[in-house]
Amino acid sequence: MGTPLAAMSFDWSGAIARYNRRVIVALLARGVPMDRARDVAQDTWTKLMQKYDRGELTEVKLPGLAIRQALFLAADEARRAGRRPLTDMPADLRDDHSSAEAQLVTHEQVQVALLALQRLPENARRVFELAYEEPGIAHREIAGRIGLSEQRVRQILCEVRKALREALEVVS
Amino acid sequence: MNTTHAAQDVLEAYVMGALIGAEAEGLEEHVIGCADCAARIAVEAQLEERLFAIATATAAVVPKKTPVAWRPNAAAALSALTEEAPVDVPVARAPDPAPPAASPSEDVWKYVPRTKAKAARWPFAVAGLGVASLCVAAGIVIGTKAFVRKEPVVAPVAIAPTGLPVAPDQPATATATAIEKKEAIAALSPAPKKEAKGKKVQLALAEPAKKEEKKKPDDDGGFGDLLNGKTKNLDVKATLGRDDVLEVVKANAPAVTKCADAHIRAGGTLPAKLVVRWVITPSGHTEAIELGEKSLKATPLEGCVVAAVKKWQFPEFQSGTIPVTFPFIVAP
Repeated sequence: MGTPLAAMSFDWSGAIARYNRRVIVALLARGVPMDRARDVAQDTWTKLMQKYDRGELTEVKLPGLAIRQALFLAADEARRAGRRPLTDMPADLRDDHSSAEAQLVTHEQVQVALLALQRLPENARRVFELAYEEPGIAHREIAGRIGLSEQRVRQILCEVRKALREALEVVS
Repeated sequence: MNTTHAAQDVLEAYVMGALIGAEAEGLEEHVIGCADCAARIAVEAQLEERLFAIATATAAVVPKKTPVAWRPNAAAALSALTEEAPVDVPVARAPDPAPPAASPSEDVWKYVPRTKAKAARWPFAVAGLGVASLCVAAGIVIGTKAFVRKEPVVAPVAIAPTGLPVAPDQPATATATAIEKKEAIAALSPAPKKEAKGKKVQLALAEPAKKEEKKKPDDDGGFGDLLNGKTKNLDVKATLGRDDVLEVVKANAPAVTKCADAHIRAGGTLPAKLVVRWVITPSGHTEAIELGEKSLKATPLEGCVVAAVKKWQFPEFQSGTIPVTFPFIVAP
């Protein structure tokens, strides 16, 4: 989902509206408590905007960039406060190969998840693909593309989550 | 603060981004003060993030949401590649706007060695070569009929036809521009773990239009990886050949033309090549369908193409899945 880089101004409020939750969730997933996650998410956007204004960002690919930035801020904060470091940190803010996410799953888990996905009805797989391969896509949009109701999309996503949760639990 | 514990579905809705406004805030407030719910939401959040990771890992070998710019790596890999691969690189410039002379009369199809077409139009160049396990190394010209009714709909895009050899199996060797290599690498970069990029790209450049799926098994042999199940084991017998894929695509391409046509009629523009990616499952069904061009993501055009490709039925094969990157050449 390429984020267009406008010549002069980037639609930060749009980006925040769309991806802030995802940033918070990424932090929560790594053990950052909610209150800090919210603060860090806010700092993240501020920081990104500043960088952007200074011309330090050549490309704003969201939400990846924001998530990375947030994880770094959180890690930094944890380090300074002497707390235990975050788990699953990306190696480098600009390291596009090992995305932060990739470190959350093992090879084995991916395999298992694949099998679990294969067992799902086709519709469910499709919804999963849309929802998770394209971060930030709204459920409404998925619904529109597949021709289901938004409600049904959520229902399917819950089913997918359930199936994958069970599959992943077996591995871990 | 809300003292009622959050219900499971509410937590899930939150992490999936389906909870909005006050509801979300209410939940956040509650979670801040409730250790129990904090733990539960962390679990949900972790699952959510894993799902993204899994989707990323399984989304064929196509470049998608690389979280950060790929340029530095691509550039590095590119230079390595340029040194390694003895590939002659005629930079095919902006093609002359001559309309496809032969192809329309033949049919709407025309195979276009992708490398040249790619060279002709870089932003839309296809990354496919050497990337996915099965990149059908041919384009299909679409729209020759559909697009005539509006004039050069696609602005200066007279693309593919120019001087492009048309034989489907003609190896489009040595015609890779730096750009397309870059693209190929860009495509590779998000999935570095599963493929030795240099090797693969090189191969692809060396004999791109050959049956790539045949090369793959050897090629992939060494990389036991994330996508094991997804992209390899393409034993010739057990999997689909390039022609199998082409046949189905050819038979069904009018659907794509239709979509493109509708897109144009709605005032949209098209790149010279409409790159469509999908994955063929052993049952012959397609999934993970998407357009290669970022600017067309989430557009009705993509929806239309996705819906069309979704219906395609390929022959069944034994195991693995076959990612396909297919460039439809947009004829002016």
